Amino acid sequence: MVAFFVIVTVTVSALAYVELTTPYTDQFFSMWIVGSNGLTENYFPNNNPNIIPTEQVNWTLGVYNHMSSLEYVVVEVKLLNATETAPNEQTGVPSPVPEIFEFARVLVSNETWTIPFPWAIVNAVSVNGAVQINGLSINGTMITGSLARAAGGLDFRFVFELWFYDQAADNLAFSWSTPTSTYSVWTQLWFNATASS
Amino acid sequence: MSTLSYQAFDQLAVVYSSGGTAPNLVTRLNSALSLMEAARVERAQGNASNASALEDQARSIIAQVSSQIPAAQQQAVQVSNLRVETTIAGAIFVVGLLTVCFYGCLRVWRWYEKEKVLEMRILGEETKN
Repeated sequence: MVAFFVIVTVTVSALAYVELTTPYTDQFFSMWIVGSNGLTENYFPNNNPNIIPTEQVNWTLGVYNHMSSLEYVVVEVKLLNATETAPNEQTGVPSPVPEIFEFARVLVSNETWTIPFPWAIVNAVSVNGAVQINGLSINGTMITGSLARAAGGLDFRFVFELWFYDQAADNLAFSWSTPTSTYSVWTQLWFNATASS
Repeated sequence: MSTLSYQAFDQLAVVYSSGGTAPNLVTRLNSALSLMEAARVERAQGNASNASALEDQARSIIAQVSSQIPAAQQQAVQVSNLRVETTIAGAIFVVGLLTVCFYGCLRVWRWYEKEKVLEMRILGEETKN
């Protein structure tokens, strides 16, 4: 009788403990870009990555929060050429190029955030054989200034960096560490640009 | 502005980490973040007055969200406590119920065994006679 009572108590206590504690899962963010049809294809009009001014390109960004907690995330959009430094996921260092646009949102655990990213080159000029992008439209918002320059207009790239609010540091952070590794999330897409005539 | 939104987020995170939820507050904080984004673009384009108006709106929403967070935190703690209490009470009830059932079955089984032995004895005596 006593043995039965002990066995039942231990079993039910174990079940109650499992019910009350959060199971451990891998913690990560993920981010992706899809083309105009919502798949990893058709990134450019007519599948031609040579973008002419005013030509509209439709991408959609996706961000998924699997950190098992509420997260404040910021997607920083940067425009680089081939020679500028990209983020380094091994060291967790972001690209030194300043962002031209950003999206911020609070995500609950397991939430996926979809960000429409329609963009067009509004102003690109030819300078000594290079193409200088001076105006972009992103989500209908005009971004002006000396944004990026690439020789022959080749190999521009949009870099999307995922930052999150680090409560301990009271600031945005690009990477997070575990005892074994450093993690950061970013992605990029390449294109060529033609100067305005 | 960012500092304000970080502070509001810190408080909201406490609600979620203690097992509660506040989806309407998250939605409103996100609307404030969108306004901040729009304000940043306006400012970059030189529209300072538009930017200030948007920032004021965002600030007002964040203030409203922050004022409602303590109630959400309290509710989250209550929900969390209720969950623990319900689970513990359920566990005690299950242990008690199983023990009583086991005890009852044991008693029935012992009674049945005793009756069986008695019946065998009576039958044995009848056979002798």
